[in-house]
Amino acid sequence: MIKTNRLFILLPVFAILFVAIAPLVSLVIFSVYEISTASGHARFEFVGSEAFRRVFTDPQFVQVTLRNLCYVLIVAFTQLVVGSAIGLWIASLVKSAQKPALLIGLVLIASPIAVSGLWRFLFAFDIGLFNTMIEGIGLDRIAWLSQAPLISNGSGSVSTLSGILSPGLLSAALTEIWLWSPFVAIFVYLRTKALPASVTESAKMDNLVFGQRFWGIILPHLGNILIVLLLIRIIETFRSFDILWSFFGSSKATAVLAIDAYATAQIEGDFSRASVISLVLIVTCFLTLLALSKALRFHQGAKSES
Amino acid sequence: MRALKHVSFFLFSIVWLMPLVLVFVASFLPSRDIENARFFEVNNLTMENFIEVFSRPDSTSFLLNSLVVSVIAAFVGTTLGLLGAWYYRLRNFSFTGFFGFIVGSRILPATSILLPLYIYFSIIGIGDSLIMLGIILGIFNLPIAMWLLHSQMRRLPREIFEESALDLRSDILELLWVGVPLVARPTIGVAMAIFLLAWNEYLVPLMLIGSSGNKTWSIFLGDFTTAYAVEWGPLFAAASIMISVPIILVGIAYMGYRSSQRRRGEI
Repeated sequence: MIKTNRLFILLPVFAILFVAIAPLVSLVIFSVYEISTASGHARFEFVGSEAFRRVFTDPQFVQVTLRNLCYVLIVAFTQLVVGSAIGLWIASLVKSAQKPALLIGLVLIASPIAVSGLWRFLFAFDIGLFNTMIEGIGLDRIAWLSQAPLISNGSGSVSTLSGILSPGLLSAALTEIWLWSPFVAIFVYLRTKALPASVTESAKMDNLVFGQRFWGIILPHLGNILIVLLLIRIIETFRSFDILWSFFGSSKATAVLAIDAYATAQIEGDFSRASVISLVLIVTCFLTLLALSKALRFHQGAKSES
Repeated sequence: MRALKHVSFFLFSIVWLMPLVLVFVASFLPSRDIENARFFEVNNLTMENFIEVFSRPDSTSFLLNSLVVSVIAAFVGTTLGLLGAWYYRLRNFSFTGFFGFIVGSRILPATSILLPLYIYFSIIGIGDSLIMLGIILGIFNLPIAMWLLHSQMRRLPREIFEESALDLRSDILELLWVGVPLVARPTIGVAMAIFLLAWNEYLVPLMLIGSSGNKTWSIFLGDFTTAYAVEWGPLFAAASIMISVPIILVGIAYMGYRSSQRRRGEI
């Protein structure tokens, strides 16, 4: 027997090392060098913590980081709530209607960059469908894609906190929620279907109202899958780029960390600053996941104790 | 009450899917009708947007580029995923160690990983290549492929491998002749999933592809938007092509699945 199976695992591991881990290590190195790749020749000049100093003393960067966190939490939690509601709704339909209802998941195979073009049109101020409908019922048009701060501090100047959210950012969040809520819905539906028939029958015989069934039976049954789905959506929203880029390009008023890192590298050509921003993105993503899983574990521990 | 629930869900689905429908409807409307929100003027249907899209220089090759890149990504991701998942089944490993390392790498944001790759490729001069782009996209989606294939292979009984190990001379032959046929359907599903993910990918080609000749269709969509105006008609035509390919692919796969079920007498 020729034992080649070590090669089986070495190939995928080397592939991941090459495409994920080596770049990660490189980011740390690049962050302390000034890099120029003009005319195909790379020039590295050691600058130490200069890029870190520039990034962390920039008030706009703090705003971008906070905006990214807000965006991820708003999008991921809303997707979880909306997706779960749709999933439970589908599960409550008669059996013959459930499979056709899952067609709602068709939006998942649509390219984000392709559908974001249409959403930009729907949100457009002068020709957009939403404003045409709003005007049709006698209301004023809304600047859906406005990048002006949602909360003004009254003095006319934009502070770090008031500049985080804008109507445009919320419109982009709405597009993300529309695109990915069916993902949550499908998993919640499948998990609900796995609920033993005896449990649902006895709930019916006890004449439990929906609220009692939801809090007493469905939610505890869905518990773990909801946590996994929330973590998946948080990871994927940290990675998301296409919709915000398509809506606003490199605009600083709506940029999140991924957009800021890309624009700093590709448009400004500042690779060391972009490396620091990329590192912050990874750390923020890990810390958010860590904090959330700790909080959930604490909650589960407290629940089991009670 | 029950009828109301069904009717309301039907209406809700129509509203939810409406943006997708509008992309297709708008792609057949003249720009002036789109700008005046006249989406249901059936008399004005036209192919002018598609003609405009395909009259742009190299537009057909952008479509081909996307297909080539997605096929390479599907092949690379599925092959590596099969190798990794098979190894873990042979060794009967659980969800730990290298497996967790490979699947966990999916957490890393793409922008962060792409930046060093972009710098390396710029230095070496290999970034602007469709083959390299396909390989990178295949590896990016390897965690998904390995996770899905591992969950399928874990269900196979170990006795199958022990018997086949006596007959076949190598692990590679065992994988090809025993493993792959047993997980053929999930493997095709995984290949299709990676194809779709690569087809829809925007950021990776945006960062790695420099020359206009190697553009993919997703990057080409950006050509219809300038700082001053958006060409809505051609943009929707190009977007509808982008969205149709995955829908057609999923439709074909579903029909294939149904006919295989019918052949085996499951329906």
